[in-house]
Amino acid sequence: MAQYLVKRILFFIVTLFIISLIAFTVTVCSPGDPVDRIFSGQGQEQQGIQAGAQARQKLRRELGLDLPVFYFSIGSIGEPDTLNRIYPAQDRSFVKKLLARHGDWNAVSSYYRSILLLRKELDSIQVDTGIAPVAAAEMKLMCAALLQPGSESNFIIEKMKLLARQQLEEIHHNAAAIQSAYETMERQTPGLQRYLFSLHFHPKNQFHAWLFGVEGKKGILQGNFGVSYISKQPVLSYIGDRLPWTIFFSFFSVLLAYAISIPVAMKMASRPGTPFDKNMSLLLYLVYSVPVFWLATLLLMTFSNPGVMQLFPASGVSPAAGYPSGASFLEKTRITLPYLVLPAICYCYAFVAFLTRLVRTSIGAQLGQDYVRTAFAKGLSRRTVRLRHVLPNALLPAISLFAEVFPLAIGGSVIIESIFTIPGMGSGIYQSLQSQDYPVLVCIFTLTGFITMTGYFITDILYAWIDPRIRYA
Amino acid sequence: MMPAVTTKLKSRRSRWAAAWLGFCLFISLAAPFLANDLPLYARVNGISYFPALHPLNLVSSDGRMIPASRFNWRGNDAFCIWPLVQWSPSATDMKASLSAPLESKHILGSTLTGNDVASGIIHGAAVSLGIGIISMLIAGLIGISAGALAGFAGDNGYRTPAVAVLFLLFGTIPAFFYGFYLRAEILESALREGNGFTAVLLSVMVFIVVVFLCWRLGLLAGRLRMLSKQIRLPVDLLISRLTEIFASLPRLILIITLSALARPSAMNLVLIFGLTGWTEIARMTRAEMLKLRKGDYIRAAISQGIPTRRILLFHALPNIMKPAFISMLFGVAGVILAESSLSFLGIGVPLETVTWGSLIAAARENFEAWWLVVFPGLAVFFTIASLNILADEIG
Repeated sequence: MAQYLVKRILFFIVTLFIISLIAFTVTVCSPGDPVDRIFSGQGQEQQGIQAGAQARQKLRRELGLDLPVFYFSIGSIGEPDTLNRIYPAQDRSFVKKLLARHGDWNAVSSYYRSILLLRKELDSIQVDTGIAPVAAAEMKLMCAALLQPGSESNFIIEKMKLLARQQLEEIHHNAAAIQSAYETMERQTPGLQRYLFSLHFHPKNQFHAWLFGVEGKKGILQGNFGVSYISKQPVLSYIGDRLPWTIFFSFFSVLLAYAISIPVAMKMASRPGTPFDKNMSLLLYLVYSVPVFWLATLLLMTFSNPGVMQLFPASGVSPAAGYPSGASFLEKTRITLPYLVLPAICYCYAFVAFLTRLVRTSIGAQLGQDYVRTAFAKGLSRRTVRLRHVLPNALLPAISLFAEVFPLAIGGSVIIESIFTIPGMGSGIYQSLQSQDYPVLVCIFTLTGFITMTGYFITDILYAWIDPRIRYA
Repeated sequence: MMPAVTTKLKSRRSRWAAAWLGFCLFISLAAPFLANDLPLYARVNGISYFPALHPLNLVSSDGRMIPASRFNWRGNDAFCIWPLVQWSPSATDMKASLSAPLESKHILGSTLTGNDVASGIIHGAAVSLGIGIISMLIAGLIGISAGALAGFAGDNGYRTPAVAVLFLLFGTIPAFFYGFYLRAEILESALREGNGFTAVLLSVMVFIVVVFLCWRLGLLAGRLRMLSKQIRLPVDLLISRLTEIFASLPRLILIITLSALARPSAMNLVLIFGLTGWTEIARMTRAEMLKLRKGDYIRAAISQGIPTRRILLFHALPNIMKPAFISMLFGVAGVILAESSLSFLGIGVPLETVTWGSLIAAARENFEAWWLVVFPGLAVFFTIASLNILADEIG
């Protein structure tokens, strides 16, 4: 048993790692720049554009965004492995495209650096003397145009040199430097270097910082999932209120399903072959095929519709106006109960159908066994045989399903919670998708994956514990 | 597959199920001819046209040439033969907004913006069945190969030179480089645009080809005396673990999370369902293959000296098709359920595409419009139930 446990734990950790990989990929690939987001919240540039750019670089280094992304990276020999340090994302892709076209990193980097140098010189000119602001602004526009891929760089550089010679004498040598760098670069073509791969290892990288945390910032494993884009609160506390509802509903519906299906299955199995048995089987099969969202919408339209029948409230889990003051716990439960009926039905009907058929088949299989015949031959009553001997053996596969249901319930919770507006994790993931709140999305995905893995893990352990044959398979 | 398909369907309910599925298949294939707002055949001023088939062909009206899709077929005195349902799913008819069935010319009713429900059901069948079947074909390909390999080779049945395994493992690095890194921009733009399918497929092919070449190199290297140490590769163990990993990913949540990154499209959905749904098929195929290996005719074939590849393809595979096919049917039911749930929530297919789920979602605001819930819902219910019943019956 211990050996099986160890194997399962190892497997659990591996799958958790894969889930975290996927979550990290979503974090990295999500559109929008974290630095921009923070800056746009804080107000505009204080002392000119240069200060803003430097502050952004600093923030970026603090957030750890200039580190390489993962532990190892594959690149071509001609490229350096430090491209992440180039800040605005368009500049990075521009440099990559240049590299793809010209191959030699030195030439490309000196060209890029000369453009940046010109921009810095222009900024310092504006700050110091304020000479020829129009010309400087035009020069800046030309710099920006140069940094776009697909521009006619030759033409723009000629214009730059002309403008510099006419109006901005101080930076004429910068423009000349750009031109020479450009010409050197244009002469290179990507050689064999581009098509040969090389492997780089980075012990310090964004994934490591995200998962384990660095000094000063906690990682995922210590519970730091970042800050929500919409509400600016730490994500975990924001989600913390939603988790209990989802867990409560999953648990509650599973227990309800077991409570309903086992007696029904026993009743079916006690009269095998009768119309009751056959019809019930077919009915359960059909019930199992009903889509959740259809049933939910039908139930709402029928039972929560003021026009038809208003037995249950239409949405939410508690009265919108709040509970009457001074209500006791029992009172609150009584008031909340009608809100829970329809969602509970939607959560558990499929599992009831599945479980009943499973237990029915299982009981049927047990009834044909020899030990049952022995028990009857010994003179035990039908009731004793059914309850004390057949049922425990028949319930073996059903019990192991107990933990496996949670993962499925979480997936189904997205639909049910969205329709009935239950404030749980499922509607949380849907809302964060709509509002593009990526940290919350990633957090819910990770937590859901974790709960799913735990569910399957507990299932395996339970199954091995109850049925010794599994351990030695 | 032939034994599975030509099994006589004995019970009455499975015959109804097969009939309904055949009907769905028919209306999804014939959708443009059954529900269209262009007539099938029309004659204007003595010239015959087929507007439903060629909506872009030019039609002359009062001396001008306009495309058939914009010509006013109902107004002019043209002789037209209309399809069964005279609206396309996106055609809006504001005069008959939210009309009940049999109240207006919309047989099964219409939505708030005047879209016809019958037309939506017909075209929605095409979307749902298309996504279900294609994704399960992909899943079947992956699952049957994985399961057959795992079951046939077992843990001890495959001996290779250790060098070859090393070459295989290290070969993933250049494979990744040539397949994905060098194509990074193409892939990124294709995925964001929504037609990532072909781009990803090409990258995956490049990956597989490079890995295969490295593997062959490794086998060649294994012929040298120095490097010829043989090991037994635990194929079964590796593939089973891989299957379990893929099986424990939460699928719906994964799709919702990934749809935050890429633009919604049917092709992306097909890709995701296909790449995550193969685990059941692999499990069934592996179990069946394990059972088969104990039988005598495989052993007889091996003892005759028939090469392993041939045994797998021509002796073993035809007999394990039946459980694999049953798993695929269950898989299609699951995919149709997942896809309609997603389009009910507004994720997955683009919002302009009309599917069964989006019709039911339109009823959430208007509770009185029972026809928006009942008819598409019955369509989904019948399809899923039929697939389940059929799969149960064959197995």
